Amino acid sequence: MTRHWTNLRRSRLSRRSLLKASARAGVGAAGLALVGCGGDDDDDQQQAVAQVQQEQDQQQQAMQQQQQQQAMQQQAQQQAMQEQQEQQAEQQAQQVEQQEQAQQEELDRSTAQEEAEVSEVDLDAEIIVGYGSFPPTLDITTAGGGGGQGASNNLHFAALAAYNSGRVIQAEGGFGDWEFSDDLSSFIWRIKPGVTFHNGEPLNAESVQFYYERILGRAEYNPDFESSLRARAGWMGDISVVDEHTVSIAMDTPFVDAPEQSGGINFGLLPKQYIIDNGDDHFANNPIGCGAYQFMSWIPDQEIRSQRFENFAFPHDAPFQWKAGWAKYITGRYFPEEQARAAALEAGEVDIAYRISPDVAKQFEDRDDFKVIALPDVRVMALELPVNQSLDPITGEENPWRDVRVRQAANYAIDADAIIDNLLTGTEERAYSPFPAGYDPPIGNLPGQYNYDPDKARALLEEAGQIGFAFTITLPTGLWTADRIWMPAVQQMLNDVGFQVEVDYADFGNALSLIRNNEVPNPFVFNQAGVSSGAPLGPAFAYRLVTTVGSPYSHAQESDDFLPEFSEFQALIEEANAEFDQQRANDLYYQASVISYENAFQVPLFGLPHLYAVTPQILYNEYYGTSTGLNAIYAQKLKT
Amino acid sequence: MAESPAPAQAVEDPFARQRRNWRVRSPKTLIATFSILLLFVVLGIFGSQIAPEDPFKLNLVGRLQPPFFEAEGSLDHPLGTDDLGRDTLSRLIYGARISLLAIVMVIPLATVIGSILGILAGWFGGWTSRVIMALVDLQLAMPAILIAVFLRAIWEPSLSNVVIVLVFALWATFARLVRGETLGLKEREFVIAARTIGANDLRIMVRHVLPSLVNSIVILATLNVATVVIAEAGLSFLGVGIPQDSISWGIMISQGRGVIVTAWWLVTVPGIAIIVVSLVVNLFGDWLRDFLDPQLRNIQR
Amino acid sequence: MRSELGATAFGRLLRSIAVVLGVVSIVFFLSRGAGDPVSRLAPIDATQQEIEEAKERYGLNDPMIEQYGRFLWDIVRLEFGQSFRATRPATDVVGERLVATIQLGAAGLLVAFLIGIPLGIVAAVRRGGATDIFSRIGALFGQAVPNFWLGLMLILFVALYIDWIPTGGRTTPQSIILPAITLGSFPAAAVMRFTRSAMLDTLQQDYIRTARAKGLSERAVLFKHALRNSMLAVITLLGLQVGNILSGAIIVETVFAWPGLGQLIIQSIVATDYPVVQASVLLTSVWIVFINLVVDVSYTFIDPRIRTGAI
Repeated sequence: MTRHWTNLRRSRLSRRSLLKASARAGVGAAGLALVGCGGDDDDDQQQAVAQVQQEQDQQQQAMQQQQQQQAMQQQAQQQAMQEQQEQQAEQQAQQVEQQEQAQQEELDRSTAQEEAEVSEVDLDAEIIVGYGSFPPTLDITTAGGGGGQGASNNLHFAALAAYNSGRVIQAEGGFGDWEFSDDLSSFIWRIKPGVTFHNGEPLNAESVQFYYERILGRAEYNPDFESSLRARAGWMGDISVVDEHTVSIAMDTPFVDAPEQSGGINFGLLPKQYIIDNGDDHFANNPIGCGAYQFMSWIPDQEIRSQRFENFAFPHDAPFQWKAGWAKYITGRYFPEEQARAAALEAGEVDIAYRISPDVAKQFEDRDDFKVIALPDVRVMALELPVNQSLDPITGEENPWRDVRVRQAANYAIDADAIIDNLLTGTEERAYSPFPAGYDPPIGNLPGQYNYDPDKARALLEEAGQIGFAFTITLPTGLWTADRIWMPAVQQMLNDVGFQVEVDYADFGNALSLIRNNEVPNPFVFNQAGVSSGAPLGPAFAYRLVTTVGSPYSHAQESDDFLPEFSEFQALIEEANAEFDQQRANDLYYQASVISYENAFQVPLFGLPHLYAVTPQILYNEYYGTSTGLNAIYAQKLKT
Repeated sequence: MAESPAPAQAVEDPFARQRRNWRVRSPKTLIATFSILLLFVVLGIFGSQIAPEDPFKLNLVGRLQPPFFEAEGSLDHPLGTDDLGRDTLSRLIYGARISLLAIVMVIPLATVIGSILGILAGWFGGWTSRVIMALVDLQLAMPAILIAVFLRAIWEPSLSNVVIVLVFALWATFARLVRGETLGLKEREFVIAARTIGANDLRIMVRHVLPSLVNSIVILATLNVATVVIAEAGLSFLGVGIPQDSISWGIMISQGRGVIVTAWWLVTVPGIAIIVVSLVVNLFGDWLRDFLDPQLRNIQR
Repeated sequence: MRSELGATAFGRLLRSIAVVLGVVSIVFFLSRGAGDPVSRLAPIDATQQEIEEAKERYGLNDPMIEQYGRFLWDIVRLEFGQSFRATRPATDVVGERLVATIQLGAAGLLVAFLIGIPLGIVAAVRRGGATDIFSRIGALFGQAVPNFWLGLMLILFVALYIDWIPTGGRTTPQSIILPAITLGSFPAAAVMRFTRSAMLDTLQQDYIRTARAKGLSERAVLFKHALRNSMLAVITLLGLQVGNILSGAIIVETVFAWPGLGQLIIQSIVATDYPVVQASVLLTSVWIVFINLVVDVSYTFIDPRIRTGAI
């Protein structure tokens, strides 16, 4: 087995390379030096890590002083902010560069083998992708989280901002450039001139204004329009056209996350006149965007055909997320059954089998006529524990999760390494905190903490008098790799130390809505790193999305009976979420992470891989950390 | 000759004996049928004592071991292990329990409900019959699987959902058979005699009509056992049956799907178990039919 | 005679309408019990107020009986509302799938009849012969093999080795082969048994004896009466099997990625997309009821001996 996965490395994109690229890009790198992503085997790094831990208390004091100072300095800082960031980022990029030189060379060697000469790529090819989920509608603003983004949204639409390969939003490289007004009362997009939609309609300030107003239900042609993006755009005040290529969005309160929540991956741009002329229903079936591929035809839950957009605004080798497509046609086919998808690849019906499990990957990895692509996920799976409810919702008695020993027992009970080695590909990162691997604060590298120790787990549980504690875990199924394989293992490991666990394998979308409505009082599994609302900070998203009051997928509610440690944690996160200074926000998140970790607020598990099986003619070398994984735009098919 | 419920009621079949020869009347077949059936029941009841291993015990390192007769297999796990290293044989034995439970709960319920409604419809006729037959039509018009998915959406998955769905799916068969037979019995001398001496309806139905129906009902019940086994597996396979973390043959197949190419035994073994049990139960049903009442050879399942 | 038949047909029609009404009610109350569609539909961080507004807009705050009345009225006008999931009229979404399912169902029935009827006839004519034994053992197996398992086995052992048979989807005309075989296998066994016993029954009828006595050749007797019999069997079984076929289709469509109604129903129920669920379940049921109505009525015309009530 080991052999297989070493062979795979060639087509695997290193997480390190992603981070490196993000460091080069200079944004989001603020965290990197602190994180110590220079290498797990670097002795100096580990020492530094240990020091950081020892000095935590001091650090915290220093932090508090710093806080006061910064409150006073804030206004001045905001003006100097952008400049400062760039400097910092540049320094850190250099550091990282040095630290990683050796690895970089190795990496360059290996990727060189995979990179095709442009002349070998068949620009007239059709690439057929077998997807496991398909979108219910092709309008990106209504498709929501229904799955199947890969089959349509990624191809047909493009947003104002771009990501670098660390999944950090960029002011350059997209269709627009952003800026906060000096007094932080408005957020401004400058749109690149000369960009057109697939139907020739120009992208300008007016179309962008219409786009936001449609999402918000303020557009005149159809005020009843319902968009799944409405809440994301809820921060927007009046939207005004400044000139042909400039749009200004008023903000009631300064909103750190404005670039992501107006120009991020979810906000694929749409043509104004086409929608007004043809109506929303027509648009949902015949989408027009400004993405790298233009829509040709659609048979719902069957097939989506797209053609390369020849007037795309970016070339093949553009540095960031948006790049021209390689294959002339991309056809998506729907195979909800994983084995059917694999069989379709085997039978030559598709070129790419999208999202397969490690076991199915093993069917292909050994063979000359197929290969497997593995992309890392920036997200971390974790078991979320309800620590703030004083009573157990099922028994009505005292909530056992409020006892830190019970929470630690759950942490000690799970042999994440065994799961990674045997059930996943063996290359995933064991998670120690809710941050994705690579963004971990130094605690992530502490040896021995909460490592698998069933005897200790049982002892803790016994000490707490909770042997036989019965609870249900809700698992949203259908999107996460191998969910029905590792979850039973986690369940059994918990049962082995004296818990009594049932698992509710819930439909993904339903489970999400229940969790969002605080209707899941029991522990649930979630991946804690949807970067989507975290920009401009790398790690920020983690806490914004999960654990705190006010974040959508959390147990915590205002009305809860907070543990004192949780209140402390909550305060730090709130402060960090509103912090414009990246470095400072990162420090705050770090402190919060330490509290979360020491109190075992959750059971972090591991990152999951995105796995794809492809024919040997398919080359794939790009990754921008989006949760959709492989994006067919970047796939190259070689001439035969 | 009794009035028959089905249009195609057979008269004396001169080839019956010949036909029986290859079937259950052959002592070998009969012995095999009975012993497999007995084995199934014993496994279903005493599975937890018999199973060589804890069917939930993980062995992540020893996952996906093939059955003993393959090169890499061993007798430690005669039927191999699944994707979490759990012993397939033990899981198969445990899985028999769910099938047996489903049978034990569904068949009596469906039989009782269906028979009562069938007698009422047949005996009273008129509006009683119309309403009951409309309910029968309703069942025919709503495939059970739809009800199953609805129930899954409303309630947590559980065996009782499966039971409700299958009872809903099966009662109508009984109601139709019993109604047809009751209609015939109404005209028989002993029933008419009971009526003329003034026995009340309930008494006649219980004392005179029902005993004459028992054979057909028992035969039909037996013939529906296989349907229950297959349907339970199908519902569990679709994820609308019993909870996914319990053990049933349908769930085993569903879980084995992901590794069907690398670990063929995970799908094949429980599939064969389902087939064997259904086959044996059907053979038993055929035998029972011939044994109890050769007249009823045409009861359709 | 005619008017009696007409009355019977009218009675059947009334009963069918009652059944459809029953189905509608079950669908309505079960799906309302299944969960709150708005919380699922609303954006990830929708506020309570936005959710309330949406509920108001969909009329989900009105009394249940009012919602039910509105629901009935909408159905009469074939108005099922917008699909929550696809944000298009539910009728459109369902209509797109209908063709695929009818294709699959028809192909499945065809397989069942093509296997079941000839085997049934031959088995009856040559009772105890090799074909009889073979086909009855086959029927026993056919009724014992779960169709989802058969489907997986076909993918594993057929599709992977025969290039021109696709493993799933609905891309080429060959795509239908494996799903149709899977779907047809279970009914095929029932069809075979039914045909066989119907045929045996017929062969013992007086008029057959008469025909034989008249010196008609065995072949002529068989052809004339076997054909007539198979037609009766086809019609009877059509009614009995159409429900089986449609529920079988739900599983088979899942296994073979066949983009039909069954797949849609499963997707929509897990996504609590009521308009689509309602439209498709209702359509399925009306379809079954309609076919049974046609069968019942045509049956009385074809074989006047079996006229009313008794069945």
